[in-house]
Amino acid sequence: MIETTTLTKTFGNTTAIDNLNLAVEPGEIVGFLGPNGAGKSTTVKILTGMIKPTSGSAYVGGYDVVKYSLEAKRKFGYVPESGAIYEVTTPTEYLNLVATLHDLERESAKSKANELLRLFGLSDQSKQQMFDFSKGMKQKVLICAALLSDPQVLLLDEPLNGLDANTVSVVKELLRSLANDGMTILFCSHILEVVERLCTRIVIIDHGKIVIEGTTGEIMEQWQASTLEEAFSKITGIQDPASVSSDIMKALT
Amino acid sequence: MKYVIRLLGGNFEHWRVLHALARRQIRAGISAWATRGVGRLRNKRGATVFFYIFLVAMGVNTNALVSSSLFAPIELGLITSTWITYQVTSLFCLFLLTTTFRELFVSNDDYNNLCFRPVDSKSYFLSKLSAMLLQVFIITGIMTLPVTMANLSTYQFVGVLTFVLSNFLLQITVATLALSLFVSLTNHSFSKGKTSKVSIVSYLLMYGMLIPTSIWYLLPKIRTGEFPTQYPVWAEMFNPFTWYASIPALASGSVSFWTILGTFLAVTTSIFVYVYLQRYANLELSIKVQQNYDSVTTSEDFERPQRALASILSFESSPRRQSAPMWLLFRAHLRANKKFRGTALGVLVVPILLSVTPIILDLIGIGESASEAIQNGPPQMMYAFILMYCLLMTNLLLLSSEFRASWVLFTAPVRLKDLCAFSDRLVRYYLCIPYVIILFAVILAYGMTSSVWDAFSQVLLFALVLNGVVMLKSGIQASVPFSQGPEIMGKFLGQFVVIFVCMLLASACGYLIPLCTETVQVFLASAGVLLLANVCARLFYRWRIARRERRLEFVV
Repeated sequence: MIETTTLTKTFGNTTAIDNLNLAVEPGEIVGFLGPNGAGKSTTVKILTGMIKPTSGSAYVGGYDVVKYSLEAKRKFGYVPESGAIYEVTTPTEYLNLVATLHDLERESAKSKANELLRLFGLSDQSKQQMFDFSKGMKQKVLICAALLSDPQVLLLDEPLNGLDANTVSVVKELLRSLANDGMTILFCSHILEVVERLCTRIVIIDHGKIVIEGTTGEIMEQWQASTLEEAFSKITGIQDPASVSSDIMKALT
Repeated sequence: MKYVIRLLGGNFEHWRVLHALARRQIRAGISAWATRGVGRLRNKRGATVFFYIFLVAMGVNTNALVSSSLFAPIELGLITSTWITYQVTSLFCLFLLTTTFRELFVSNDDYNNLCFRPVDSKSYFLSKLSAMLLQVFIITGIMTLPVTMANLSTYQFVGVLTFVLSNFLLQITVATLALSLFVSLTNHSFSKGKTSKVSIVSYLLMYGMLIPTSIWYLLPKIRTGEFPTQYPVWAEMFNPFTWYASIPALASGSVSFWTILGTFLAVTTSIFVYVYLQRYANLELSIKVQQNYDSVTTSEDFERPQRALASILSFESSPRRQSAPMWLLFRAHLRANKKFRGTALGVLVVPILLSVTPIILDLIGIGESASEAIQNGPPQMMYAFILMYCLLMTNLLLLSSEFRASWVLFTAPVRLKDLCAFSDRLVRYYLCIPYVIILFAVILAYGMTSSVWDAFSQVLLFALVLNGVVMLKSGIQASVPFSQGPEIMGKFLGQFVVIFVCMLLASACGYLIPLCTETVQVFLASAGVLLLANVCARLFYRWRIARRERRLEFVV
């Protein structure tokens, strides 16, 4: 459902993604991990068609995201890392905006949007402009928008940013259910505990290249780590977080 | 040729294949014609040779007939013989097109082509037109050669060149008109009923126009020995055969070559624009073809033709998913953003300024001169108000303080160029048209022109200028609406250039438009040139949008 073949993206002299080969099958929740600047968001932006790859190809729902971008875009829902939203609109208007962009049937989209807003606890604010919304509230609207078009693929870039604990639990359960129904989910996050519990497989990239992929157990076993966090530290270069931390403390004093 | 086809929005590879097919259809027509003339010929080249020999014979024969003693008592003279020969040549071309070469516009080959290949309609039209014009040029060149040679001794090279150029221009006009008319009648499908309809209509048109032409142009010459100096305007406009009578007028010096060039360029352009953009861009196919066509057009490689002429000059409907989200964002910005609202509400200020400008001019002490000046048309200030506000709005619609949220537009299954077109459409349809109507009303209310027709023609010319300028600006600044940061408004030089250009254009309009509406010929020529400029602006706009779409990336 998601596939990249020798995907490369460069910005000037900087190579953000370097010959990335990634595959995510239906029913999988793949945790896409990496340190800051590893190329996670760039990969997701290419998959969504927001930016174009320098070379290689990327497929979403079987469609090349460059050659058949419209078909590919019909297949996925996306929650961006930035959480940027048109605050001049109300949640209802925003979901209506997304529905019309996806050419959804007006009445069913409207009732579905209302139902999603109700389930995420935004019914009372559905007619308010989003200037005064908290980050979590905006994130809820974005998650509703991503689910509105019944996508086959979910591309989630830090989807839990700003959400309260209860909503995080709901979203995690929701993602499991959607994956069980056959949805393909690419989940980018820095919250390793959530990734460890939620994802069926993990891909870790660094400097635009995949350094390891497998289940949580396989990765921990391979790197002889007791937790995913420890394995991640070892894989991405920081061998001893405690010593780095003490060095920072010394610098501050 | 490649660049011409690309410039006109066609696909050169499609054009090449279709042009070859059209040439093959012409050769097939010649073979069939030769078979009817001399029986079945063994090779196709023999048929072609026979056809051209026949053309030479026809040319010599026509020339001999019109200049020989057959009309001796009337004494037609060289010029009369020339235009009659030109007219007969045109008639013969049309006859061949509707009979021998009719597969050019009704063919099973085309049907199959459109059925099984995603051929784009503009390339299709251009291939037909180019193949047909090539054939018309060959026939005209051969048939008019004797009369051209005869003219050389009297009118020298330059004079004869003028006649020949005028004739070819006329032939282009008539051939384009004929092709467009017949194709629109047949709609590409080959069937007995439609073909007979084509034949009836074509014969009616040809002979129906030839007879009155002869009555108007030839009879006065026969009776008085002089050509009439005044012809009915509607006859000049709607009867292609009367156009050939401009040759004697040209020879006598009563009409200049440039007037003829301007007039026929305007007519040809208008026909071309109408057919090329309206009829072909909105190609109506039979149900069977439509089904195949739909399956082809689901691929992103193929773009369904849109109403291109409508997109230039009139209203254009767009799918809900492209216009509705943009309207929603427009309303939301209008409601929530004070700056946006303030600028957008300027929409009401412009009509007020238009209404009070003549009064202000009177009040500020230049009353007499202003009143006299505005008798020829609206003052330049009125043009400037409209131009500046419309261009300001094209800018405004691209901006948003929340431009980072425009990722939602970039990740939606919508063509970015359709979204880009929103601001252009909104400005042209919801601003330009009402403003032009208001301008017309103000001109009439203050009696700024000598007649309603004069006011209408002036406003029409200004509307064409406005339309072209807005398209040009939208093309230069092609971008997805509400996706640009407010810093683009901060580029002072850009704003200054816009204001400078607006003032310059307004001055030029104020000075030139009254001059352009003095005579019908100049008005037609001006309108034709402006229409052509609009088409060029549209092509530029589409090229820019397509180019931008390939490169558009959401980078914040």
